[in-house]
Amino acid sequence: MTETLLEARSVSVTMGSIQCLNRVDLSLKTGEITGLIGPNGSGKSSLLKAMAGLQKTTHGSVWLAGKNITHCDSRERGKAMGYLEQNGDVHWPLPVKRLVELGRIPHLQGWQSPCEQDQRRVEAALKQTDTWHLRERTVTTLSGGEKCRVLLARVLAGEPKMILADEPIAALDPAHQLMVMESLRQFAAAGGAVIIALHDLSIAARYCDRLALLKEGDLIIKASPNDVITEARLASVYGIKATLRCDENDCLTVTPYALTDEAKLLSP
Amino acid sequence: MTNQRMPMWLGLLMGSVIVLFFISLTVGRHSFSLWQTVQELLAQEQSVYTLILIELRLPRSLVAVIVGATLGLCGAAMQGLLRNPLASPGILGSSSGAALFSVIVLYFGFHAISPWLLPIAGMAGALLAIVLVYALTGNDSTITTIILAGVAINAIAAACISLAINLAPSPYAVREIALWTLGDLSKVSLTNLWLMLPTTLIGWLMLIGCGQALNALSLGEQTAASMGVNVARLRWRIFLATALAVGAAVATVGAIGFIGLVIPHLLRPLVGYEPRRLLFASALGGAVMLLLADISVRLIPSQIPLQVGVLTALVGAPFFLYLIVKLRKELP
Repeated sequence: MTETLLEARSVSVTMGSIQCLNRVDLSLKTGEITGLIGPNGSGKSSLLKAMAGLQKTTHGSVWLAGKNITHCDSRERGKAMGYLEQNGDVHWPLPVKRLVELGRIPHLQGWQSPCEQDQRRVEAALKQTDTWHLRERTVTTLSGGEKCRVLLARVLAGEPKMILADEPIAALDPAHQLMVMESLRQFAAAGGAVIIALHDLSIAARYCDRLALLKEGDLIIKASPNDVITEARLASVYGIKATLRCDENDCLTVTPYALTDEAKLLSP
Repeated sequence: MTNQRMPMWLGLLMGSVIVLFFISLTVGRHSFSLWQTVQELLAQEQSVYTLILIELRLPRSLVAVIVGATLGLCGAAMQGLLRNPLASPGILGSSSGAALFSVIVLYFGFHAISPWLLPIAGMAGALLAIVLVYALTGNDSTITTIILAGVAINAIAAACISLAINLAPSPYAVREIALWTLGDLSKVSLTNLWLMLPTTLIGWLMLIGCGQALNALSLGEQTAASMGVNVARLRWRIFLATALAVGAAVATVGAIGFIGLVIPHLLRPLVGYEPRRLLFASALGGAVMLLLADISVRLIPSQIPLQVGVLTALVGAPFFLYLIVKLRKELP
């Protein structure tokens, strides 16, 4: 039985004079991966931040396990959700293992250091993200892709109930893209909930149970991938012409091949 | 590797503080041996030497430990908070605010009314600087805006101190103000010690509890907030703690530069880059550096006594340049 863990109710976000989100409703359910898709500037990151309680909403509210997120204890919120920032920075040259241990912070009190159980979680997260061999390396010596996986390991080490990931696979090679998505699928299959912003529509169609398509802050549609990704919608939202192909498992492959005539007029 | 060696380095630093503290008791115009010092401290009857030890050397050495630890601890906390290895405890104007208010007391000769007025004014100046930064930036500002506000406060305070020196009524007043701003431990008494202790301890306690949150902040403010850290509260907690502790330090001994900047850098390769690990180590390191500097100014032969702040700047400034070159290669 699925359970709603996190819910955005009529959420609007405004930054200065720009309306980033316009009355968006979206819920995260256990066992599901929800994909956020849409062109650059469509409001994916703003929605993720608002749902993580990191962005003030100008209208509406976000509910975590039946409680308004603004009234939730910040530590409990930290335990419940793992947020993976877009282009996450690490400000000090920490060893990878220490960095992943930081994921345990919501579970630690004041001066408490990670115990054996914490260490086991860290080890498991490192292995799950194929970064165990990097554990002694300094984070500043990692490639962009390696760093992405290490940061995902940090989130997994915190044993959250849900993961909110902002374009975590953008810098990864195809093999590691699939590996990260498999990790997230395992996480969801184990009863977690995932919301992930993606640009790769084929991966979104293959791995997400539901997709939410955003354009200029508006939620255009939220439905199953095959219902969301249509040629007409890709043309109107992204301004692209694409070939859609369904494989034997009914999974879509999206191959963009040209800009629409309207998009060509707008491009420099 | 660094993790395993950390207890060793902490032990070494702690041992150095104790050894240097006792050496500091023995060194001066009248030098004693360590054995004589212990005998004088335990003696039933008070001799001149006991008085020198109890009234002059003991407070001087204790204040050196406390001020050095404050500068090291606040430097590490500020660098962790701002994720900037070039941040110093006084970056937001608390040191210069304290210095300005103390200079005002010296300028108008208020310290002749009560010796307590100088440290009280210093602490008030440090707090006022932080309140001004808060008033200028509010709760939602970026770190850059806050640093810029601090730079402005520092500049205003420095200009006012220059004005006070420029308009000072007598050469004696100029000398007194100028020497005070260079940092000096030679005039501290037990009264100074008792006065600075409460606010310093409050500042220390506020900072020591921030280690875990500073570690989370290594991943940026958004990620730290997602992990349950109230970034705005943490920020002002550290600013206030630094104002209390550094304000008390500056008000007592004047402005002593570079310890808060340099010590965390020196210790990072030894105890690790995690801000939490660095707090306690930097406090010990700061105490070691100030004790060393204070012992050195007493040992260096000079007609006019050398101010301890001058020595820390002379050693610290070239090291700072070295750091900038080194950081270009190391940091992401």
